[in-house]
Amino acid sequence: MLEKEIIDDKQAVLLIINMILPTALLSLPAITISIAKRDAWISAVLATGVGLMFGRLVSSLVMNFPGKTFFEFSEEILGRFFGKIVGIFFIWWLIHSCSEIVREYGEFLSTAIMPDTPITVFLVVSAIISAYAVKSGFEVLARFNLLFAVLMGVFVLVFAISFLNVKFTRLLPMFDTAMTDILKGTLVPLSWMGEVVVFSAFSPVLKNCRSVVRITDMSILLVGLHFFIGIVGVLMIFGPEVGSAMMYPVFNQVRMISLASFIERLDYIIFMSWVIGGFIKIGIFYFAAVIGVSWMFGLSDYRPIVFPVGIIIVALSVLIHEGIVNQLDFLMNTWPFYSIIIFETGIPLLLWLVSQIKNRRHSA
Amino acid sequence: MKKKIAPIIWMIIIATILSGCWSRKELNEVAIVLGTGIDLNKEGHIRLTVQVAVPTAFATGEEGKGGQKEAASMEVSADGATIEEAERHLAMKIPREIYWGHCVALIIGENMAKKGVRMITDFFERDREPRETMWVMVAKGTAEDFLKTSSILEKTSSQAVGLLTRMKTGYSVKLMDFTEMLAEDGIQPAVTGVRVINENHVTGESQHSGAENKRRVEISGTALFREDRLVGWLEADETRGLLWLKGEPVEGVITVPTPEEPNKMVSIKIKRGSTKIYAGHINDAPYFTVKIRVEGDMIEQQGRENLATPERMNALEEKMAYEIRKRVELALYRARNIYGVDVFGFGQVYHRRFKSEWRNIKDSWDDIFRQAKVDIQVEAHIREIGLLTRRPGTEK
Amino acid sequence: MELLENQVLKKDLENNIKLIKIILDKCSDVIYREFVFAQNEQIKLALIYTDGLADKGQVSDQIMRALALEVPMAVPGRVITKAQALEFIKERGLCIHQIKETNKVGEVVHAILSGDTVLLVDGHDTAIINGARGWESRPITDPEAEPTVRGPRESFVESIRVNTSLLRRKIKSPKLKIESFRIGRLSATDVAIAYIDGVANDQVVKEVKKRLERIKIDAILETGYIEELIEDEPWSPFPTINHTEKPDRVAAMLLEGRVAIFVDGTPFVLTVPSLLVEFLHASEDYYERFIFTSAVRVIRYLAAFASLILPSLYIAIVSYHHELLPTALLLSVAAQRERVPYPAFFEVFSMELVFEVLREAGIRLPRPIGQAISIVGALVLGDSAVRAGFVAEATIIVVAFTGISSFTFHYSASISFRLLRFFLMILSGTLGLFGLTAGVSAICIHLCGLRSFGVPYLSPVVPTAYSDLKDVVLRAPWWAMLTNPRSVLGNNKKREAYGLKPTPPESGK
Repeated sequence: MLEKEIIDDKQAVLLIINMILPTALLSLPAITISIAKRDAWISAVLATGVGLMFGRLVSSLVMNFPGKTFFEFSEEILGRFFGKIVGIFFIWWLIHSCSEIVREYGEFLSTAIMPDTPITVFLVVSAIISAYAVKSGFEVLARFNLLFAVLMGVFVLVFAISFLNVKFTRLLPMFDTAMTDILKGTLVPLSWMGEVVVFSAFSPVLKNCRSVVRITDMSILLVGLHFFIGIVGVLMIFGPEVGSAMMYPVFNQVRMISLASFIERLDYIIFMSWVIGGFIKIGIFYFAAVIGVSWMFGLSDYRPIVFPVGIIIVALSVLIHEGIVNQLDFLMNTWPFYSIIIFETGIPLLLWLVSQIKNRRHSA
Repeated sequence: MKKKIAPIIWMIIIATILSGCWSRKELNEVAIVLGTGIDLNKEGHIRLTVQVAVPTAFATGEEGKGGQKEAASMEVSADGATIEEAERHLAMKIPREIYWGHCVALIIGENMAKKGVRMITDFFERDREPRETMWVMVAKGTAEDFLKTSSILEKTSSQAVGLLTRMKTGYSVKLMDFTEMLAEDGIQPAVTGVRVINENHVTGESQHSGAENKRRVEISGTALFREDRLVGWLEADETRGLLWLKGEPVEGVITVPTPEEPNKMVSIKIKRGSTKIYAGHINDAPYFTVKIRVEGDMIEQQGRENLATPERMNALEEKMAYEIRKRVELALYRARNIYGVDVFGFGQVYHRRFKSEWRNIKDSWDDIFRQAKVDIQVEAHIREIGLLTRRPGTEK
Repeated sequence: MELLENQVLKKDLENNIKLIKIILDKCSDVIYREFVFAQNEQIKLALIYTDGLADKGQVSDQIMRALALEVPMAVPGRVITKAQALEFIKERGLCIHQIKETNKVGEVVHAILSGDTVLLVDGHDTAIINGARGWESRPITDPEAEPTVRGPRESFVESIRVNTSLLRRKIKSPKLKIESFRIGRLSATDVAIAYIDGVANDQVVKEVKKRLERIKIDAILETGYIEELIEDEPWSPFPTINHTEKPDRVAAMLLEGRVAIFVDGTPFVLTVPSLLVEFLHASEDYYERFIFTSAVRVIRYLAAFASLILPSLYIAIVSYHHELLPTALLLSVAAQRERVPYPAFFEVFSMELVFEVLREAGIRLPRPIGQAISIVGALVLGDSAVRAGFVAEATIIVVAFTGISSFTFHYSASISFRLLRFFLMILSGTLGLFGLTAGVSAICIHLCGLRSFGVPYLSPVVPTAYSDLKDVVLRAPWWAMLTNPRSVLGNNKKREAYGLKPTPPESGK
């Protein structure tokens, strides 16, 4: 399915980063800060530590089954029947999270940018662009991601300028929040980092599957760094109270820029980076879902089902939540448990354990 | 592999054209709000005043020159229970859609401020158009009256106060800072005060016609809040003290008497300064040390003394330090002892240092703060003295 | 007719001439000249050539005069029999630099129509094809489409031989290979591919040959025919094959491992594979000093970017996102737009169309009128449109700047940029900056998937070849560009010796 497509390690790292990051910078800081208050950055650091273990789990699976996608090795480990069931669950999760992401973007666009436009337009257009990327192949998606990373320089600069407004004292006193809240806050960034498991659906594209450990470690560390910077930035600019009350604090952070009285009103630069990042993130989840579905039906080429899957994703994203309040509630209270326990650790851990037991039995 | 771009392009074009363009607002279909004023009307409702730009007055070239001078802005008011309701009522008077994205200043009338501002700021934070960076100020009198006043050089009063605040002559507060001060514990809000003055009295000019129209806007002191209610004012001098205590970069001049000729003055321009506040305990009561460090240049001297000696410089620096300390103490006294509010954020400093003790006392902080001892230490330095060492024809 | 052309020549001269006359029936430009060899009535000769294609001086002097008069003087006393005649003529008689023999009627006919002069000898079934071509051709002039300030001033002409000679003069190495093809059932156009053996990628050379051999068409009149028949992605708005009329540019391309395709009858030469960045580079970039070049290139990239998105950005800002402009500027633009009854999208779109009409007229009009039209277009139209309240001044500024920007780089790429500009304008007119971002993303995804003869179109930027980034937006000095671009070649070939960076001579001793 993916036999001809090959990407190098750097592209893989960037891909994993953009697989996790775009939506995270949208809503993660506010959610984390509302739970862990002034110490939300500690949550981000802790989450990075745990996230590294997630990455290791995924990479050890990938390394044990070189050249096989998640679906193929789950079938190999659990057998045909249970493998298919796990695969179907995983496909559901991919499609569900993909429509969740699409919806998140739609909500952002219709709240913060163009309130008069119906949200469906954003959902459909985003899905079309991502579908085009998916249809063009994995290499193209990876290259588009790389091109985006080249453009990232501008966004990083804008982001850096917004840090001129910081006051370090807003971070003090440290450890003011109860430890339980800090730990609870850890779950939010963790549920994003756990998305690294999606990469196992593409593992055959790697040039050398030995390097997957380095790739996941590197990407989780960089993602953690971004989370840390994002959260710390919001905390140091708005303080915990205002920061957690905002819907998209990073967006407000950029809106606050006013340098030399003419470098201001830069919010649309960050908006563009989010939109493009969103296309990529949607594209990656979409791609994984498409690969899963074509595996399920045993297709040799995934392209014919790109549009059907896209229609499911868009339809689901329209139906999934009544409004942004429901979505926020879901993302804050349900999503972390739902996706961490079942899909991001549960299933990979199960696969890993079974494969270890099988190996032991073989060697014994 | 099929990678035809044409069908994709068509799909996007059709999707977008069919979907239309809901959010489109042409520039000649919007009323650009430059300043917003909020007052309390007699029925206790919100009275919203917007200063709307008249675009043709901003045209350059021929149109601008010919004919009589057009007013650059129009002020329209409407009442309502909420801001949004008042805006809807405004829409009945303004034939265009109200656009907040370029609103420079949010001016709160004195009565409104006394009633409480929390009920009005939410709109400006929640709506996507008004920017977080707009200046918040409290008008002595009504905001409506303030917005209707013309200004020097700038075409509209909002732009004028916007620029005045930007120059940091007063304690300038952006909407987002104001929100934070309202939300956080251990600090009470303070914002710039503005007022309308009658220039006729000041200059007594008569030859120009239309002298009755010489009403101008100016920045005047600082408004102090407890929670979201206006409780009192600091005068311009005291605002300086507030700025020192807040650690805001102070640009300005300090005038002190010459060491040996007390009726002649020396002006020192402040170049940089820093403020550090340390919290501590004396007998279990909060205690604060404020350390202020100032550097400045001597700009003007009235007397005949030769100040360019180390001893006299030191004496001058001490006078300068004394002057600053006096102002800081004055501001502290007014805010703390007369109005009883901690607008300086001493509570936050205390919280940072003693986080567990803070939990017990944060609800009664205003009372505790009133008792707390605050020790102010000022260290002043004069760096440059200009192009003269001493005045020609004076003692060497 | 095909049957006739497949025949071979007979020994009988009359018969042969008749045969050729039948094939070239009603071709009044073909001339038949019969005469005798060395005043010997026994040996009849016939010359056949096309009037205007053969060099008449050569035909009369070096062929007729030599064979009819000078041969007896050269070998006095020797009697030449009919049987020996052909050998003798070939070895001693003809004073022509290039001859070829054939006995196929088809080849004879082709030679005549290509401008060669065919000599038929009575009693022999072999024709001698004399390379005495000589026709009126345009002199080598300044390049019209790619003018430069510094660098060679010559450009290709319509004759393929002249063109290959211009190339050979730049690269005097046996490794420069020029392989010929003939494409076109009716036109029988000479096509040549040129590459440098050992530098060009063998795969690419093979691929080019394969794609050229695939072509079955009646005529090739310009390289454009070939371009459309061999390009990778016919539906793409972007050109995946570069063309140039400058020999130095072709030489530079070949030295970087590309393959050039020459077609007889056009001064434009195709080079493959080509990358997007090529279209933003000028040959002059390599002749000027690198600091200047780098600065100019930055401007060119910015201009290219502006020519793509500036009008749509303007539409998006003016009709959707007013908060992007500083207050003072917004008020001034608002004042201008106060009189304009149309939405910004319609205004910009129509002005862009007007600009395109002016541009097209500028090319098509006879040169002396062109000047007048540009004055009318620029001054009268623009100024009156503003006065009439049809468009705002800011729109004119945007459209004019976009128009000028699109001429800062290669013309064929600028056409695709201009087309996509309209596409983006529609998007941003309906969905504001979101539409613009979506459109730019779609273009980028498309570009990421494009390939030109197996080479990713966006390389060396994406996928990244770090050593090639020396020559993308900035250009490294020549002493630092040690290897050939990897993205075209696939393997680094050393270009120059290491340590060529000049240093001042050590002073003192």
